[in-house]
Amino acid sequence: MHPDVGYLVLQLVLRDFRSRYKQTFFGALWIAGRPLLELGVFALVFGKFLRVPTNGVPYAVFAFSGIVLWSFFSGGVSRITRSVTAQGNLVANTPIPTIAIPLAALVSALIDTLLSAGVLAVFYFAGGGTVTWTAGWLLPLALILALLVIGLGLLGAALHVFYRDVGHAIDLILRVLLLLTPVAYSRAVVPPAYHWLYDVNPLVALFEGARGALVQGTPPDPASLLYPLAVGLGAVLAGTVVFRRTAPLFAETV
Amino acid sequence: MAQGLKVAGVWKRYRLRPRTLSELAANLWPVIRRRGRRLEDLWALEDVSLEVAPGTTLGLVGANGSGKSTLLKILAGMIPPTRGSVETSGRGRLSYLGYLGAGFHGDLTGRENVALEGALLGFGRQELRAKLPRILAFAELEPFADVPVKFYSAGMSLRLGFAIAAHLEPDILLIDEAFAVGDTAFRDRCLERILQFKRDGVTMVLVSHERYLIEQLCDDAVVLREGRVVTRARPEVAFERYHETLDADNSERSAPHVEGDTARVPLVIEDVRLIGNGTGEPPVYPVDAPVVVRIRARATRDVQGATVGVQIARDWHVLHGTRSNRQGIEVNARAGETVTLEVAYRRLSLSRGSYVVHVLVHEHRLADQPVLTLKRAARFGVTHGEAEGVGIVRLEHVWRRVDD
Repeated sequence: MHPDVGYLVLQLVLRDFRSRYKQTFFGALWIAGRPLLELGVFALVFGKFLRVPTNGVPYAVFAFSGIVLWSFFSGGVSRITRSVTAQGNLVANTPIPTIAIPLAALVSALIDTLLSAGVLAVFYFAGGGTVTWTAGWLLPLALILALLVIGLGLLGAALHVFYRDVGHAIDLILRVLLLLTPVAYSRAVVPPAYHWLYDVNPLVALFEGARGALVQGTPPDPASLLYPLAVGLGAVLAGTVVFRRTAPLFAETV
Repeated sequence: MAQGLKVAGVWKRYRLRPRTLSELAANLWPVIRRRGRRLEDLWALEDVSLEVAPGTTLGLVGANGSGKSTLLKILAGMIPPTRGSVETSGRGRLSYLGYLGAGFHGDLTGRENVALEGALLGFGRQELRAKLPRILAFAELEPFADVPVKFYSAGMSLRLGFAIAAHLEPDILLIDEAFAVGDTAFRDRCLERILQFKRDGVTMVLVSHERYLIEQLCDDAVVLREGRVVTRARPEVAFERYHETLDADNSERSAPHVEGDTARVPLVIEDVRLIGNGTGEPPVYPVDAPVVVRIRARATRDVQGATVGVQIARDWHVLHGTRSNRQGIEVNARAGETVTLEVAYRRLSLSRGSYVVHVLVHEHRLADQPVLTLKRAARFGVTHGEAEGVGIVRLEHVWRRVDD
């Protein structure tokens, strides 16, 4: 067994980070590009054109938590899903403890998210956003989201080794989920007749809860979090079992 | 404490089942049409059992696809055996060297890559921090430590890769031809380091096609053929068996083979035979026995001043070559006439092993290139009873004590 998996994960994260912005003129400035673009387009389309209700706060304040959480969810799931195959060379040629690879992808996605959050926070506070004690709810909400990311990611990573279809499927699912999750708009715009269907998506309660806790200062209803929590735990269980059982076959398959 | 390895009844199956819709369709089609071939499972290893005693080095020899690398990866725990088990006696560090610098990223600097590769090979943070300067020094790359590796020459990358591996402190080391690359000086250093591992009592398994490496490093060697252990013996014996299996599997490899411009050739070789007191077929001669190579050739046209050459070779190396004109013999013959030439070797100063004889024809004594080469025209073996020293050739020598 590897004596220092933590150090290995650190090195994999550093490798990912260093290599991503090497030989780019703007370097790490690109980190700011993505969240700025997303905020800009959302503000234009949803804020100005469609005029989604924002409870009276500027759109940049309204959308902050949604964009940050979405960046973690979509970045995490898609990165972890592709992580093992992307490092196929290492998996096939070194006796690397396989779990280090999705772990490194998770850490990379987390770092990206925190950097995005930093950039968007400028607009949040410039738009008059404030932080109250209810913002503390963001932590458990993010943890539940992390359960979903880890579970789905591990499941995707394991299956992607055997079927590259999974990569295409994940991209499609994420694209659809972005529209079916209250990232750029709030659940209030969904006609109540459809709520039963809309709420099947476990992300809805998390994203609505986060926005309420941060912008309106209203804590989420703990009962509403039970469903995403259950789905998250189920995903982690399924992902861990599938990953552990298939991991010995990665080196000969990838 | 040195560790051993024990492989008990290991089988490995690679499933080649359909993985895509089109493969599935292609696989079903022959079933429907009742012809063609389906994808079938591949048994890469069949009932392999072997032990490596603590502190010894085992060589794995075999043709491509014989299962060497699969076995090594199973030993490393990278892939699971389908049946059977691998045990290590005691606990300790196991290192696997697939190929040097497997984790290198061209955009990262040498220093960054050492940290990365080191972590991949199992160094912890403290250990790597302590060893990083020594690794860079060993690779002689300190001035380039902060240059991206993509600007390194192939040799520099290899040096760096090996420098990291050289600083491992394993109890068991598994090497898959990782270091049989690079220039001569580099190979010597690698070899020296591996020998040091050996002196330190590291248990090693080495996969290589190179007779020299296997003979230098291994206590004994296993020959694999189509996933099965053919033999286990001292390296030089194992290598002979390996070559026999290669010959048996590939008759082209062992058959005589004509190279050259047959339209232009002045002499065709009709017969090459070895005359001596050998036994068996091909004949095996005792060391130092006299042997005669007799060549019968027929002139295709009127020939003036052609020469015949004989080479004795092992593996890819020609050990000795001679041409008839060196001793004043040139072939003059009329069309259709048969000539017979002989080379008499007074003694075969060769070590134990199997050898082949190539016969060459040159148009005239000044021609550098043969117009015809009959590869593997004959083959023979050499045996000897007691230890005669190491190496391919046996130089006649006398030991004396000469102190005053």
